[in-house]
Amino acid sequence: MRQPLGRFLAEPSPTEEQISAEWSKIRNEIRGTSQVRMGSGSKGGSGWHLGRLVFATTAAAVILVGVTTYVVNRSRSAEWDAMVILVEGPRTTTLRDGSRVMVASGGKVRVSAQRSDLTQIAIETGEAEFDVTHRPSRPFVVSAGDVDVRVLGTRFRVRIEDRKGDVRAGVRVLVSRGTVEVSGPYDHPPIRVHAGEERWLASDLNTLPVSAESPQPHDGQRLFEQANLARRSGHAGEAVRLYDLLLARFPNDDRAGLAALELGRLRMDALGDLRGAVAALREAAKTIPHGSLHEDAQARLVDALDGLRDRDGCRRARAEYLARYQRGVHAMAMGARCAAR
Amino acid sequence: MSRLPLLQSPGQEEPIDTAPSDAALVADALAGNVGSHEALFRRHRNSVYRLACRLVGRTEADDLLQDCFIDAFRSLPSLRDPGAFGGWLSAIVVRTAHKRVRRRRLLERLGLLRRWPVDIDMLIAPSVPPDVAVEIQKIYRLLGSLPAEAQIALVLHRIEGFSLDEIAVKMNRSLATVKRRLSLAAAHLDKGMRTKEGKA
Repeated sequence: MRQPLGRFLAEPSPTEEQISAEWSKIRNEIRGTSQVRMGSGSKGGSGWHLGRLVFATTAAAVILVGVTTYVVNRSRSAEWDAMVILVEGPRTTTLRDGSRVMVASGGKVRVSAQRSDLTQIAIETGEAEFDVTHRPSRPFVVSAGDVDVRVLGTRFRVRIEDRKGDVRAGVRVLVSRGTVEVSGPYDHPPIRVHAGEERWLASDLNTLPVSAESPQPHDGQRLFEQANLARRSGHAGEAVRLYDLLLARFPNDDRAGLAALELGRLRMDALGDLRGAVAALREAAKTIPHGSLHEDAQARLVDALDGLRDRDGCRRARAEYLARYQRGVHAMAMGARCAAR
Repeated sequence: MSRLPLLQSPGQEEPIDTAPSDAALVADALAGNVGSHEALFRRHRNSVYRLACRLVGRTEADDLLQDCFIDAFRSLPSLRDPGAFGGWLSAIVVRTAHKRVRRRRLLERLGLLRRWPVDIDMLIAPSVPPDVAVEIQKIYRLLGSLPAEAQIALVLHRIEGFSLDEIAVKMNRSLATVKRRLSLAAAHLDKGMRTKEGKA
């Protein structure tokens, strides 16, 4: 999983004066719109004791609900936490609003939100049928890959279909009662599917994690496309596996050099595997004989060797880079590399 | 996650932890105590400001901070789970930031505003390695050319590290929509970075 870049960004460090000034503006704004008691702003006094009583009652209620919900969900043999319910088929689950989710054998469904203003469910794999309680003000959305099925009260089935031979991967929606609205992929206008109808949508953006059991592509191009999709959707581990597979099975493929370069980048940036990155980047520099991609591979190789503190290897790689790209985009940065520590 | 206030144990001179939980402060604020509003503000101010900076840049972060807290305190009665105040507040920040970014895009298209005036150097911590700083600068420069929703989704995912489910809840979008936005953003970034570095 790629590390968030937020850790490299500055943290706020406001002064007390700044915070007080901000609060003063906010307080003045809310003063006229809520029944607030103006005073010293202290948390003490009878208001706070009332708050403690309210809190104690609320906490007890929350604990009771939490325990009850946990017991109920354990009896359904489903993983549960405060936000997400995971259901593996074959199993039928009843949601809080009475809607039923019937997950077929081999299917896996994640209920990620159950609120009065939204029910959100994602089909991770396989097939599930939904019998949805009608509530006009509450959207009930089932996501499968990059396809959304939005309902107000109906019975329908959604199935993820993996690629089979020449038949593309897609999502099939079958409606037995009521009407659903289906949208995606590529932001096509939504289409309505009525009772008795079914629709199939090709789903090229395979943003679901690729399982080890899923069918393997039979040529370098497909492997390369799947690896790119996995990389773009943040599944670094899966992308590394697919690039590796491409290089192992199709070493002479036209995309092998680029695959090696992406592999090197991922290993370095997402997985912190500098040794693996060095191997991949050397392969990339060898396979891509010239051009900007070769320059990038060579520069990255210097970074990786620098990170490994392989000073001799780093200096050799740096000399190779500067010999070919004296005025390259990374030339200035090379000066800071391979220093003794 | 709410914390239960610990009672003073016998023999202890001071309580271990008497800081009230968010749920307690929300309940007290709803009862009319401005002190609790201020306590909630002070507790969550930095996280809101940090998120605001990363979404809209430091220039607009101050305004966004105030707007979001004012909005939150006015809407406090609608908060169903007082213990989830922090998450609810960050969803307000995301949605308000989205509106601002969308408005900015419109003004840019009309020629009434310069493109994406994010002071990127102010965002980056001083101790960051130079090559990482360059990488972050490239990302933020390219963000300004993305559609508003894709930009917000990308910052929440790549910078803040939220899961897809969390992003869907904060943006009030379906999971599939979030995935589409992120795919679009990632493809745009790849293309932009290659173009800027002179790659094919």
